[in-house]
Amino acid sequence: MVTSITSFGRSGLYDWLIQRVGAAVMAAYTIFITIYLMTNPELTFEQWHALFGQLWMRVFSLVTLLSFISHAWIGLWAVLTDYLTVRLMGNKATILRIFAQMMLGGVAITYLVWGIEIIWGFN
Amino acid sequence: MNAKKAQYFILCGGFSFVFLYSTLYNAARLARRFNHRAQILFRFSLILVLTSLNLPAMGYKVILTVNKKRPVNLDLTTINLPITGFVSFFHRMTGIFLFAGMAALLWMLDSSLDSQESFAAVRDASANPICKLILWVVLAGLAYHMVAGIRHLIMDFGIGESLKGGQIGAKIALVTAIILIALIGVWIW
Amino acid sequence: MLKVEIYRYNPDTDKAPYMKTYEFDTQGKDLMVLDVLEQLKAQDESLAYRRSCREGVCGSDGMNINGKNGLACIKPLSECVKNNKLILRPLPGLPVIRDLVVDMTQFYDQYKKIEPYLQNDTPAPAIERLQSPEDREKLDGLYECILCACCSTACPSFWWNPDKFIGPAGLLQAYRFLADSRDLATEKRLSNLDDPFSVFRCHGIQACVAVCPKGLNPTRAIGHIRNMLLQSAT
Ligand code: HEM
Ligand code: SF4
Ligand code: SF4
Ligand code: FES
Repeated sequence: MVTSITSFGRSGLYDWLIQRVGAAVMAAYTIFITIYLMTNPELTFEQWHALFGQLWMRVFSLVTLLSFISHAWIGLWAVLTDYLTVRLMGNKATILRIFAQMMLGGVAITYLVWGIEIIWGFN
Repeated sequence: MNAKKAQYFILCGGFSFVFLYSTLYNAARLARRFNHRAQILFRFSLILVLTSLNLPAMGYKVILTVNKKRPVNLDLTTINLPITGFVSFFHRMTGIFLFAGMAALLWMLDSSLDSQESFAAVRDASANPICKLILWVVLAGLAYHMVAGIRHLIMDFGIGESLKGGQIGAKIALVTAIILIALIGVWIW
Repeated sequence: MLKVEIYRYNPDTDKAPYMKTYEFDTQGKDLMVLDVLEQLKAQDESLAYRRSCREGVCGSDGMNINGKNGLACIKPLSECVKNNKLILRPLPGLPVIRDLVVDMTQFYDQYKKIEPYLQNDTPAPAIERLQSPEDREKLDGLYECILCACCSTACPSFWWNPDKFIGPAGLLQAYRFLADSRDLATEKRLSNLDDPFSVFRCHGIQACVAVCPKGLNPTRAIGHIRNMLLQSAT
């Protein structure tokens, strides 16, 4: 058993499942938006605005946003713990990795706040 | 672009940049085959090229030493990467890239919903060749990552786990992604 | 003449490893890679590599042959030589002791972690613990592993985290005991694997499957472990 405090969920399985569920949600959202844009080539602001004004679309968007953040955190955490390691680059790796994780957390939270503001911030 | 939007944009883009930089800096450090000056030059050009293209933290000579005394054979140019490895590796690269690329998509969404004018601005920006290119690259990354991701999910259900199955799946994913990326290009231009 | 390039490193005399080229006359025969090594060693005694059974059952001569891991003793030249060149390097990712001989400690440590022995506290029957033919069949494709390390040293996840990720060979064996009807430690075994590294560093790259000289499929075994983890957790 390898313990790790900076992974996302409580266990490897948890992380894995969250990443898969998030992937499925994002795929659904992407396909939905693609089809919507294809079937509305002359999209107007009013139409677009009305679509995103509906409650279900807001919820769908929010769930996708949360999926994106958690999915990317889990994925990028894996990338960082593969390459920024003491094994590969010596003792300063730990500091560097924590720094990179903080940066990453910073971006993730910024995306989250920005995203929520976009989705819920207009009338 | 109003001030607040710019702030978000710079924050996300900047952080992602630092993040990519630190990962790739490590990769560059691993290239130990060069003398000092060449190493510095190599490092800088590599970081520039890799950060902009978001290319592998692999793919060039990497010689690692685990214990100072014993060498390790890990010169990646000498090791065959099976097609399944290539697909998986590229999935990782596009995943990292998308994290930065999302800033562009979120900016588009933000502006398109903000007001009539900003909606029009997104439309106009989409006519600019550079914006088109950026959009295409981000969407291409998304298309590839999604296709390879769906292949991943299918394999998680135990389908295509044999040697042949995995290779066929990898080829299907690759071809599908290329077609999608071409279609996205047609749609944008 | 076949050109044979071999990774050479002698810790007593060499600062760094280098590639040495030999000329080799196959006399038109499709030899195994190990035959070539044996004949070269007759000329150059300093050449070091491991081998024992010379028939693919002991797992000691795993090495990187023209970019692909395999057992030298059962790899015919016709299957690996390209452009009249044979390139031999040690298994990737493990510390090199000398020439083609690597230090397998990290590999064995991972094997040790999965407790590769039957665990069953119930009183032993007079003769042996019986297993139905169906249950025995579940071990096919698992028990054949000879621990040659070709798979784990072809796996990028194992290169990066050989101390945390069990690796394909260890995981194939972990599943071999999880799947055994006579083993009663399933719960404990699973809970030892449920962290972000031990199993979940596998990204389905299938580099392991591509090289296994016994034709085994660690990726599938890893999928089975994941399913067992899912079932026990939901
Ligand atoms: C746009 C937002 C997305 C971002 C930023 C993102 C980012 C990432 C990153 C960084 C990884 C880690 C890669 C690795 O460890 O090799 C990853 C893995 C993954 N992604 Fe995404 N991804 C996104 C969308 C998607 C979508 C739409 C899918 C759809 C199916 C998907 C499916 C997957 C899967 C299945 C994995 C797991 C790969 C593995 O275990 O090796 N992702 N993602
Ligand atoms: S699974 Fe195959 S490659 Fe891996 S150690 Fe066992 S026999 Fe060798
Ligand atoms: S399938 Fe998993 S274990 Fe096999 S090479 Fe890939 S990451 Fe390693
Ligand atoms: S010498 Fe025993 S497996 Fe090759």
